[in-house]
Amino acid sequence: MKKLFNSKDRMPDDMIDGFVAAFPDLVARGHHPRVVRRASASPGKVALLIGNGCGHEPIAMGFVGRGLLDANVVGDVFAAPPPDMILQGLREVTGPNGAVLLISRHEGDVINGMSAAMMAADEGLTVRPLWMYDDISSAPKGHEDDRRGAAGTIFVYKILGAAAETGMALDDLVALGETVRDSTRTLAAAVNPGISPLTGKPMFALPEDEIYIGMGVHGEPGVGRRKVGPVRDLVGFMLDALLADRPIAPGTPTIVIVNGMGGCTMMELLTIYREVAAGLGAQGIPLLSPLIGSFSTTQEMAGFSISLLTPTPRMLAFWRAPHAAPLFPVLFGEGV
Amino acid sequence: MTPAFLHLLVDRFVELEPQLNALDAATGDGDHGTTMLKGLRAAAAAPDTPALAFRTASGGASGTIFSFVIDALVATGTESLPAALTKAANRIAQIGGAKAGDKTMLDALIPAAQTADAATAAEAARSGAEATRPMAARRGRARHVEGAGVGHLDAGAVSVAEILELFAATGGGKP
Repeated sequence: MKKLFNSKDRMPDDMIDGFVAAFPDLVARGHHPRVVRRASASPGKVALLIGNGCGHEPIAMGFVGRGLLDANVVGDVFAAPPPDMILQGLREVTGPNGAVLLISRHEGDVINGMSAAMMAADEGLTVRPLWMYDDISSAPKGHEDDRRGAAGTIFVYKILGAAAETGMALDDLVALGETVRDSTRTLAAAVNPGISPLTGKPMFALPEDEIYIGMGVHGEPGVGRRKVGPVRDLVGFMLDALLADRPIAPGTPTIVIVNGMGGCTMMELLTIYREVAAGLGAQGIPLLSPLIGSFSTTQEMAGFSISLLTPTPRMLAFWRAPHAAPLFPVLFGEGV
Repeated sequence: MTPAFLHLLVDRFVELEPQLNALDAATGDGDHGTTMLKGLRAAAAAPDTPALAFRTASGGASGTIFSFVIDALVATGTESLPAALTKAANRIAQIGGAKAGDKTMLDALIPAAQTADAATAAEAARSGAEATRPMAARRGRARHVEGAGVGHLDAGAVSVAEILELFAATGGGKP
């Protein structure tokens, strides 16, 4: 498979070069070459950052900016950055009000992130790790904290980012983040694999007429297969699973993310949103300010996920708050 | 631990590499011996900061976890081996959320930390590693494989036993 890079060794660094060159008023490289931070800090606020492997852009690097992340620590392709690199990012942005270190629950991210938080505490920094998990296919109901992070983590990024900007204190931010996480559910489906930029090979194999339900963001195999059919049937099946895991009462305002994994067209994603809106509408669930597009990706993997959040009015206001993160979209919609 | 001990560990893990990879292949991605050796070689070449060198070279979750064991070996310069192992076991449990009985390297490390000296620590680590065979993994490498690794030793637990046996046999590399 053809790929458009210079060399394997330089993939993350070349990408960061391009990002900071494109938006110099908004973002900058930190002292460490793999730390991307805001061009100018908002003084006195709690810092918000995450470390993650690259290859999933625009998440998370593209979400650095005012009203969202203070910094992103960029690991190698699909590999969590080592704890010492995350620690360097923490040193660069953590002030007297402390920092929330977001951790999308995948084994390497948890272990390296928790180690970095511990090392930062040894140095006298106040850092609170916040585990994010939303993928209902990765562990059964009742074992929510064994689940992995998926596209629903975007709710946590945006809502905590806006809240931190208002001067919210560290403990309150962590509590808010936990409530957002616990009010979010995600389920994914994949139709074609992404190609690893490192090996040039597809990350999984799937028969021509089948769809994987519950595919992970690194190409981890799904939990079940279905035959390809009208997308209405697939979306109906996914909504049933999401609502069985966490029921939503009629009349409860709900935010939807339809996230493409890199190889789905906007034409497909909008068709999927049509079926989501029809399915939830039939149950009397009103939908607000959706996010539709490819934000948490796995190269050219063709697939998508549906995430549902039932926000409080305060969460909804933070979700819609203005921001200056270069690759996070503008959200539309008013009223409840 | 003397700097020479890291070189002794490298020699031992050169011998163990195929065996540890084979153990890991049954429950994970089959590279545990190779990543341990990579980390140990880097640690031996950086006697001032061996734990940092270990996790940088070894990479991944297991590189970070075992770097706390290297830290513990370094700390034996100023405290007892069981005390240093206790600190490492607590940190590893905290960062990974694993407990005794989850079929991880902690099943060798925790019993070793509850002993009085290096010789009994090595024995406890070996029995702990053997005890992982019937366990079903709830954390770590074997969690996602069919049967959760039942019937196979955990490669990380075996590595802990090997490190502590060499430590006991050589007095931490004392000349």
